Amino acid sequence: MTKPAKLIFKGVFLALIKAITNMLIPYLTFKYVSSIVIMGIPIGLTNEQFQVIVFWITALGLVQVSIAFAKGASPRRSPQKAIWSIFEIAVYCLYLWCYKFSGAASLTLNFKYGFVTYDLALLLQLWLGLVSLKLFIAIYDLIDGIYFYNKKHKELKGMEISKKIAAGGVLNE
Amino acid sequence: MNVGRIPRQIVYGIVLLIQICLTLVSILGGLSSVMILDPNFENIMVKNFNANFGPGINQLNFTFILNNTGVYDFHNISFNINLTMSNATDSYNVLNSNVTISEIKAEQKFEEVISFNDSDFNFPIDFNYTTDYSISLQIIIEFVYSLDLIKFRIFLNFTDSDLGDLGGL
Repeated sequence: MTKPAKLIFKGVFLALIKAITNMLIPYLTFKYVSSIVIMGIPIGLTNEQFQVIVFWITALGLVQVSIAFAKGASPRRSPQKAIWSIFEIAVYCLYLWCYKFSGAASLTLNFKYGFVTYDLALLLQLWLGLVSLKLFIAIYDLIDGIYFYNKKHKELKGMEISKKIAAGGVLNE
Repeated sequence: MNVGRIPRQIVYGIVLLIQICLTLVSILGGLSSVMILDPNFENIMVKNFNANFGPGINQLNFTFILNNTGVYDFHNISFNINLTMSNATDSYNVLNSNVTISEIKAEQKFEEVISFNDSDFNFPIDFNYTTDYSISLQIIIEFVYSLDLIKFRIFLNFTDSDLGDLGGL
């Protein structure tokens, strides 16, 4: 397999993983929760709540999938890979935040004698903290990528000059 | 491997480890939260209501069951019990009480008779005990779960007929 084909394959693979973990699994989970009916009592989400949650999961999930493809298809230790990583982290933060403003972070489930509210805000904040740690790594990768790219560029230039010297091109000029 | 990238790989490894732990905690906490919520009313249960209202003899007691079927302990459990008696014209909040428990361990069941006597009630002086009142009992239970990351708020509301179904009044 050629190098560009390998990169595209890697991009598609990462995009698929992202689609499964950030779109399909949350969608199926919320669909399951919304349809729970036991002993004739629907305890799940209302249809409106479910639609809002699914909208945000799909909208930001699709952006994440495309960024995951771009990141996966970028060469290793390249500045563009690091830039896509930073974009990915920013969108992931929005994705986590969308759980909060779509109402998914504070689920209310009704049953016969009342309701139960799950408040997951603290869990989400912890996830956001973890994502910010990843941001530091992405920034480091960006600096490293730029340094690595410049080094490689200089090496290639040096090799070209050496080749020209070896061919006598410089002397003839 | 480039030696300069070793610290980066170590930091990345630590972040990855935290991410795996957090994923496991989220999945375990989420799944067991659903287990705790039992719509058959088995894990969160109120039964055996017994109430008497009259000048100087006011009392209310009931059995409260909170069964921790999850994998983590319940912490900072607080109950707020609110009893309202109302008729066509007036509404009286005759009981407002808080009970706290520090924790219920995983796979343990809290089952206790909660009692209130005359001194806990705040009936107005001119309260007419002979009038027919409809009773509304609200119980709000709050606790934290899954390493204190998930906050639960259970709101139970019982009216006359519910209390009758649950063995009381």
